[in-house]
Amino acid sequence: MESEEKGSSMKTAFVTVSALALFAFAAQADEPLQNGKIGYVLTNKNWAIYQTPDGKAECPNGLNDGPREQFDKLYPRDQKHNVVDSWLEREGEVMLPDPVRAKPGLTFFEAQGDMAIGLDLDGKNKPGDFRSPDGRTGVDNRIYRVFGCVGNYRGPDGSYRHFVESYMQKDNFNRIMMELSGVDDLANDPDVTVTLYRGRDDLLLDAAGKFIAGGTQRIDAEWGKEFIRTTKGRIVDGVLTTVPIDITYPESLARGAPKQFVKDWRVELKLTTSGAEGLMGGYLDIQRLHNNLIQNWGTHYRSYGQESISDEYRAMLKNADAYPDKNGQNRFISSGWEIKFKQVFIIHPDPAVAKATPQDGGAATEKAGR
Amino acid sequence: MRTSTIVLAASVALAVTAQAKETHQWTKQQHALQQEYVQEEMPPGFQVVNVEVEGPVFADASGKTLYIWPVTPLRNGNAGELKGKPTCSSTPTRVTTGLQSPYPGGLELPEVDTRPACTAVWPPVLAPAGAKPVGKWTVVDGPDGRKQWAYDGQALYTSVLDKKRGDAWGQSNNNPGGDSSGASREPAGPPANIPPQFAVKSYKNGKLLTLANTKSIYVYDKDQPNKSNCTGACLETFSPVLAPENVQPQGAWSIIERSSGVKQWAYRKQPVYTYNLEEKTPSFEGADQPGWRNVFMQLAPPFPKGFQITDTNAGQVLADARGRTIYLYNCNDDAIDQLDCSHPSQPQAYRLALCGKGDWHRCQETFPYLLAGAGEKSESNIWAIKYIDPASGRWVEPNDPGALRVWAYRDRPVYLCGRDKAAGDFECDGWGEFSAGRNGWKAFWIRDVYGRNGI
Repeated sequence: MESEEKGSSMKTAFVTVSALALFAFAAQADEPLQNGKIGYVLTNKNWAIYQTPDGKAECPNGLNDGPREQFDKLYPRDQKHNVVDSWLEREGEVMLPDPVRAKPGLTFFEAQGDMAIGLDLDGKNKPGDFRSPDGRTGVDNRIYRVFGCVGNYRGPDGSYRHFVESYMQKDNFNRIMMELSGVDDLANDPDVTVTLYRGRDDLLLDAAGKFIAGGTQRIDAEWGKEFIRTTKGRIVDGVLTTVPIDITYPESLARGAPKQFVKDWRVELKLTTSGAEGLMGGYLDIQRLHNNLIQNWGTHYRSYGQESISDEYRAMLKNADAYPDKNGQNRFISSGWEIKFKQVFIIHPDPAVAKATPQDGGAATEKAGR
Repeated sequence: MRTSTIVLAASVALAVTAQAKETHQWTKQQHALQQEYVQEEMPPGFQVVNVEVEGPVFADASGKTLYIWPVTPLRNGNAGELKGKPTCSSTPTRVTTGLQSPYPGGLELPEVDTRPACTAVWPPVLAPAGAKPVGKWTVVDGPDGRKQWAYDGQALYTSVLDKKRGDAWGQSNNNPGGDSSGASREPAGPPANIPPQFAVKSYKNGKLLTLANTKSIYVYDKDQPNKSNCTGACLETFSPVLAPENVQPQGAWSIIERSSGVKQWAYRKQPVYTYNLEEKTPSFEGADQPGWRNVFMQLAPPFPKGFQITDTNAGQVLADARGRTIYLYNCNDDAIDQLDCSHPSQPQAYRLALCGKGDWHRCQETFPYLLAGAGEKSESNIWAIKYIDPASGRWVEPNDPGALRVWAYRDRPVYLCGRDKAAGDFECDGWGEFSAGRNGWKAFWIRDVYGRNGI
């Protein structure tokens, strides 16, 4: 009897300890920060556009014309026109814009003033730089001059903003993830490693369709190698800042497989265990950006938000502020984005599977003639 | 099999640095197999012809492919034909309709004085006096008062581009399809012989079998004829496609019993499965697992010797022997009869506007034709080597001044992109109107991992 009681109490103790251990393990397994690592997945990304309530300060001439309005100005409806000289003239200009001159009769309004949202990319406060509403100086965000008075990009309901958000949810091609490792303290840590990946899975949504933390994402180690990049960062008072690196990221657009090249890319993000929010900055490759604009969202879609790509291209070249070509023409333009992430558990590939995949960084060929 | 080469081309320098992902989508043996179809009663003078990519299609007595023009919703209205209501007329159209946003209707069409009527490009398949309906074949009244044949209510036509049995050049490259490509014509054919649980989808690789819910189906190299060896751990990754209890075999489809009372479909004696981790449907993802293959009812002919499959960040594209991504040009005009403009015999103004603002010299820099090597030759109908005049964009004879010897797919030249610098680049994919479905270039996508290219 005594031994039975003793055995019974031992069993009880064992079960209790086991349950506690299991609970502790389960609790640890659910912790966003585990073994010095925490993952985030991008859920929102928009050009950093500074807007006053009525828009008159930055866009005193109003918003720009788009393809429909320009077409009507150039080719009035009460006159006869043919496809080649009107429609195809416009499309040729979209694809191969004149780098300097617009068609007579058309105008393009750049955003005015010295106020913009963004980061100081070069550590200098020089002529042409902006100051920001939160008191920063030396802000480099020249793309704001280009997009600031284009309806597509202005909040809260610019058409492009809508589509980017929509395809952020619908697509996996554009799934950008950021993994922090070597994290001792999410509030303050002078040395963390930041790695970018493309994820493969859908974003986690609540019943109302809002993005929520706690999902899982597999890394796309197969097709997304060119998007994997690593840099260092530091966390001060809960804000992560990263060391600039050059990256390629998959863009969020309706069609095709667009990507952007960014030099000196970095982020400044307020971190929590459930998400991250802040700014992204860098110098965008203008050629690639123009390719994205024309390739994956044609004139029809650009008409929604009164966006003239050829005028934007000229404005990009005019405002380009970095990385000149051999002729001295800058080919990159400083840019800023407002971004939001949700915490996610990042699943690394099975080493056995990863070993079987090419490790070459992307460009690859195989004889297909059979 | 895996290569590592560096190629410097005169027009485009490419660094081909490594290997593509192994593809297990098909086997050499599968190329000889043709799609099974449901035998249906036809009026006299018609036949079923097997076309390389499209599979079995209806043809007239001379072997010319028959086409239909179903209604397609476009941005500002519909185009195409309702069942029993042909509209393709013998009156040439002179202006645009405004169906394609954002441009208005009423613009004079290119080469308007010589623009053919719809019936000149798409001759209706006329029915003789006294022709009687047979099965799904009926006789309908054309817009010009003539009687013409229809299949399943859709009026039938031939294409002036088709010259011989097995040609289906009337169908444009049609990529990405839907409202982005205008209302294009498609070959008419008998239904595929598949049980209701399954569907067939056309890819540039061939006719892919899927479940009716679009999930891809797969076969396993370790299975034996009508016997599944996928058991235990294998079933954690792949699931047998179960057959209903009372189902009967159908054509090439048989039923095996996995265990007592559990039946599984087999196609051509190979048990079929779905891939449990398939993300986008249909896909080739399951075929990345060694020993597993997608199932095609009919494969497209092999690509020309030396052509390559190249990895990109979104899947795989076809590349030439130097690793350069190959592009197809799509074009459909905005007239009410929605004529194709992607063929060299058709107006070139659309293409020249986008690649060179009307300057053909510039087009040879932005989108050069893919020149055929001296020793290269075609071994199929859909791929051919032809001669083209780059100034006019027309097919010409070999000895004509300035003629270039180029590769053609579906009787249309294929292109390279002047902006591509390395293997795997596809900088010109989607270059044009409506993501290039309407007027522009798409890369020759073989595998579309993220479903972004409408293929």
